[in-house]
Amino acid sequence: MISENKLSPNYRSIALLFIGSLIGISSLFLVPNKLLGYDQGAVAQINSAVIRKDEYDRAIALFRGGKRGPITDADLNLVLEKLIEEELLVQAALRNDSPRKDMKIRQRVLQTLLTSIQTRSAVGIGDPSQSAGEDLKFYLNQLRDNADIQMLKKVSDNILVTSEIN
Amino acid sequence: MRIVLALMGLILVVVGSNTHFQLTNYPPDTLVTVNGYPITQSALRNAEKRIQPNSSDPMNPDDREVLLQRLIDDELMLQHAEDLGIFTTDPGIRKLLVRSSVNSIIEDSRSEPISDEQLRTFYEDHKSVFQRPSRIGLKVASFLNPEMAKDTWEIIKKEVPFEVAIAETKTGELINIPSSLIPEHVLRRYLGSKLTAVALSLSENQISSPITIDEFTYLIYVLAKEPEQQLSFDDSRLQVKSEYRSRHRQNALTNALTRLRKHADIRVDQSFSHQLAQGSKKNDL
Repeated sequence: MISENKLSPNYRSIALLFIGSLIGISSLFLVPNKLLGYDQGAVAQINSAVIRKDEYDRAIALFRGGKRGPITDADLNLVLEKLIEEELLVQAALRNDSPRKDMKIRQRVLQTLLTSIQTRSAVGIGDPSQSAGEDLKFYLNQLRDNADIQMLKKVSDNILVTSEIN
Repeated sequence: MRIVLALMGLILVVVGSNTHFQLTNYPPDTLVTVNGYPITQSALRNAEKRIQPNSSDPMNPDDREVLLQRLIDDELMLQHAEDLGIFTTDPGIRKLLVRSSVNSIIEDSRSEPISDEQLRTFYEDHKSVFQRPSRIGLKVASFLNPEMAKDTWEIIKKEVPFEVAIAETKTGELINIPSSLIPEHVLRRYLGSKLTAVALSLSENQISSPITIDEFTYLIYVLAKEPEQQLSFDDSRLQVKSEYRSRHRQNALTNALTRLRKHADIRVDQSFSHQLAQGSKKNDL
């Protein structure tokens, strides 16, 4: 009797864990499978990215501009397929680390960031007492302060990169 | 039993979490890591080459240190751009990313050598592609008054040359069409589909009866017609090569997209697909 009493709480907890898991797994199938960003008007999901209805409508408007006749339903599907293909290619490029390896993309990304810093400076969003150059310096210092930068090797035989990069 | 369940739970937590586990197997020539991303000696050397493309002298150590600092700052900005979602939201960058993917997919087909035999087989299999299309040379006059068009036509029937007859009536105007022989698709751009169809139905030296379309009436005079011609392999070698490469690239891209689709989780909102399908049904009716 004593041993039965000792074992029963163990079995009970395992049984409860098992039931809980079953409920959890079944809820996956019972809850409607909504797309990511469904509330923001997503029409399609490709891995973790979504295509929103407004993006789709913009693509349709562009397509309409380049077509002589009226838009057919095959065209509507084609535009969605093309948007999906574009997203797949974007994701493939990101997996290949193209923003770092492809110099054109790298330059464009850096230019976009620098332009946004200059624009912020020009419209006075940044510190009004600072020039665009100072804003950039401040921005870079902020990035450096929050980063984990580890020196592993000498740059050349003559010089060792200092650990205090700033 | 409890240990097994606990391990399973742990595995599920690890797999389900969004945490990125930084592996420390950096390339052997890594100089610096920036938030776990390596900057290598070869990246520094490439940057040096970009700055001094024509110089064989090594950069001095101070400049090299400045350059490394620049690479670190660039990496910090790239990481910030990634966090801000600029890679995927900026339309210009998206376009460049797509182009980069396409280029890497078709790179192999670009450099692949093509043998003469491959080209000849391709030519034989796609002979219809390597034809010179039928061409036509013609003159077309337009009239605002259909009666004047008819009068001009009567004059031409009395063997007065086309242009002389147009000049005599002074109401017709010659449409500006190239005087050389032109293929059907080019003619369509000048005349539209209705007049092109009439022109193609005429034989050499034939003049059409007046054709009224909207507010204008036209007379077409066909000067010459050249039938479709099959180009020989030698005459079309360059075209064959270019077509072969183009189709090869297209196939490579199609295959790559099929592979990407196969490995991706793609879902279309059911109500949206339903809307598209309903539209198709309406059209069918």
